[in-house]
Amino acid sequence: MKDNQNQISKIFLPVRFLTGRFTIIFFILFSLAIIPISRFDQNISTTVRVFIIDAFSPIFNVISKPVFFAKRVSKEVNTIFNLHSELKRLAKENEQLMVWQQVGYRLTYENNSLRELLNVSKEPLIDGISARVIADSSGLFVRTFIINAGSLNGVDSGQAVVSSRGLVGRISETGLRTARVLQITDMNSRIPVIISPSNQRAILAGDNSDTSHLLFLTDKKQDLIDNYVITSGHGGLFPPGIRIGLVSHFDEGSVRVRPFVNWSQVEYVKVLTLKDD
Amino acid sequence: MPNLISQNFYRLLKNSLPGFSLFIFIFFSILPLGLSPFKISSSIAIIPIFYWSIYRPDLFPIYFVFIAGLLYDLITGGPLGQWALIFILLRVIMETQRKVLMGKKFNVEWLAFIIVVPLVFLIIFIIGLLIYEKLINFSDLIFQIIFTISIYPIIIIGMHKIRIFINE
Repeated sequence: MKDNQNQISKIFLPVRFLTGRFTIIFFILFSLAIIPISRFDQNISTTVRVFIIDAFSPIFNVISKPVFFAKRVSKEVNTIFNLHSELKRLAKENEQLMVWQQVGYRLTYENNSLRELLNVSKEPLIDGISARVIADSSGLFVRTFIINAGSLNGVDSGQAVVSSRGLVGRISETGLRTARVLQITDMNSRIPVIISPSNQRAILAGDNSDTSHLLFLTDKKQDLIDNYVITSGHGGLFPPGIRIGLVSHFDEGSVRVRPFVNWSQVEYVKVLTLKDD
Repeated sequence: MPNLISQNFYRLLKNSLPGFSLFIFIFFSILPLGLSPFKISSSIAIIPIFYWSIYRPDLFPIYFVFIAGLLYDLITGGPLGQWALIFILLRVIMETQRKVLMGKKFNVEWLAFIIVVPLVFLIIFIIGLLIYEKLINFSDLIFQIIFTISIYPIIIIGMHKIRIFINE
């Protein structure tokens, strides 16, 4: 009996060894073979990614909750310690905003009157879908995150995503219950913008760093520093006038823009959608 | 008989801890702690692979590592197959080195990890360069390498406790 077992194991040992080797080689070759898919056919990888992220969204939802709870607690503690200075800052800001409110009313009235006078076609109304960031899927080559709203909520690829401070990015992949947002700092992000008040047009390009840079800028004057960068609305993807950031500095000939958005505090975002009249 | 079943089930649960730890790390690395470039490195998932391939490769099968890598690729937005390849290479290479590293002092093990981490990032860098044809921010790269290396001793304390628990 024992001799039989020994004989069997003698036969099967090299087979097991070979199968083991073959499995390793197969998995390595398979991994290498699917790498070019990301470059040449993004549709396949996107479909699978969207399906997987949708399937794992309940886990993302659960694991992100304690993080937000901890963040909220630390924010509350911070607020308590800075209550006095924060109150003073808000009072000052409120005074300034009251002045701006009056300016806003006047300009809205003037704008509406002129539009009526010139018979300008109405701008489409913008609506928003609020969503929570449930996973940070960034890596060395990508700057993306996942939100808990998908096509069931009306989210679609290409829509602009904003936070309370300004533009955050755009929807790059949409699942049923989740969507992936490509940040404005991602190296694949290109957004048509206007620099205000110099009124120049450019393309805002990300490069995976904290700041983005401006492409196709006709006049790289030094007085661009501290100019506002807002979306131009060209191409029809983003609504015009969404604030993005300030021209911060010049770096080896490129004009750098620091976004208003504070990346470490992005918890909730709004996906902008066109409202039906 | 029921006692035997419960004992087997308990052993199964114990033996699945190394695999479970890998999934914990995968999900931990995508926690939305802050969307800054200086975030928790996605490469922390290599720590359990490095550790278990040395100490308990029998509980860490190749196909499992491949599936985990593929899942990680799908969750993160990077090139498909990148982490699957890294996970498998690491699993295979570390298993071949287990005789050298087992029973050695922690410093030797950490030194091996210090050698492995830049190699992992070199693979990420080469794949990224081929796919996106762009260079990455080197300060970001250096931060992630240093972060992954520095966090290793802290994580290993927990891993070591799990290993003792499994071996009991």
